[in-house]
Amino acid sequence: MAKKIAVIVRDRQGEAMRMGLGIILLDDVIDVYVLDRKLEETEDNTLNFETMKDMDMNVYTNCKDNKDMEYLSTEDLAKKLTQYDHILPY
Amino acid sequence: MKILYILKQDPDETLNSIMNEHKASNDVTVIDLRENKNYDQIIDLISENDKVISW
Amino acid sequence: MKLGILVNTDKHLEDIIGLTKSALSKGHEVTMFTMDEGTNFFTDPSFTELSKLQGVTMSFCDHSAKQLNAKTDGLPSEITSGSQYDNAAMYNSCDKSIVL
Repeated sequence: MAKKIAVIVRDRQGEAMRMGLGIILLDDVIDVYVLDRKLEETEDNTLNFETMKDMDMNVYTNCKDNKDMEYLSTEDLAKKLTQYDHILPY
Repeated sequence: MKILYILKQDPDETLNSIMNEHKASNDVTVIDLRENKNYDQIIDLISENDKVISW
Repeated sequence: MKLGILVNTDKHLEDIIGLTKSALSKGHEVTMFTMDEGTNFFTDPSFTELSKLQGVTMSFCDHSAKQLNAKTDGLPSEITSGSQYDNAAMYNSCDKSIVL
């Protein structure tokens, strides 16, 4: 049965984003949450984020500096987290 | 809903906000893994809770 | 319960060992996926030997290991060199997961 998974991107953004994209290989639903800071514009982060968008993945953030992501207040983000089978702060 | 937090560091402002939101409408248990080494208890809590969040 | 453990730091070895052995003693299964700084544990037999316990399945991200020059020569054969596919499979098959 498909699982719902939240990947929470904290300070180690590069590896967190790589994992968030990498674990879509099965049929599970993967949503990504970029917390507290702007996603650093490295080549890898940019590629991974663009690919997430191409794959129609949900990428949320509580940081308004992340212009291309769906903004959620931290409180709304907390409410959404309870919907997931696995919550993976990275 | 039962939510277990397994903390590996001091909660920051964001985590405190998330935990407070969850505490408002859920049964929240917080384990500080730096202090609590009762692994049998922690495994039981992981098994019993609906959601597990390691932070 | 099937417990998944994502090992992505090299800071919580005592907890990984303690939780794994406790879970097994209670009849649970443990699947472990190691990536990022967690691959630094490959030099520590107390970590790698967990793979030989009945009820434990271990794999790692070969990409991470190569990035961090982790020692993968001589790892027990029970530890699978893999990719994020193995990580995905862990969440798909496990009831609960923790990140250490």
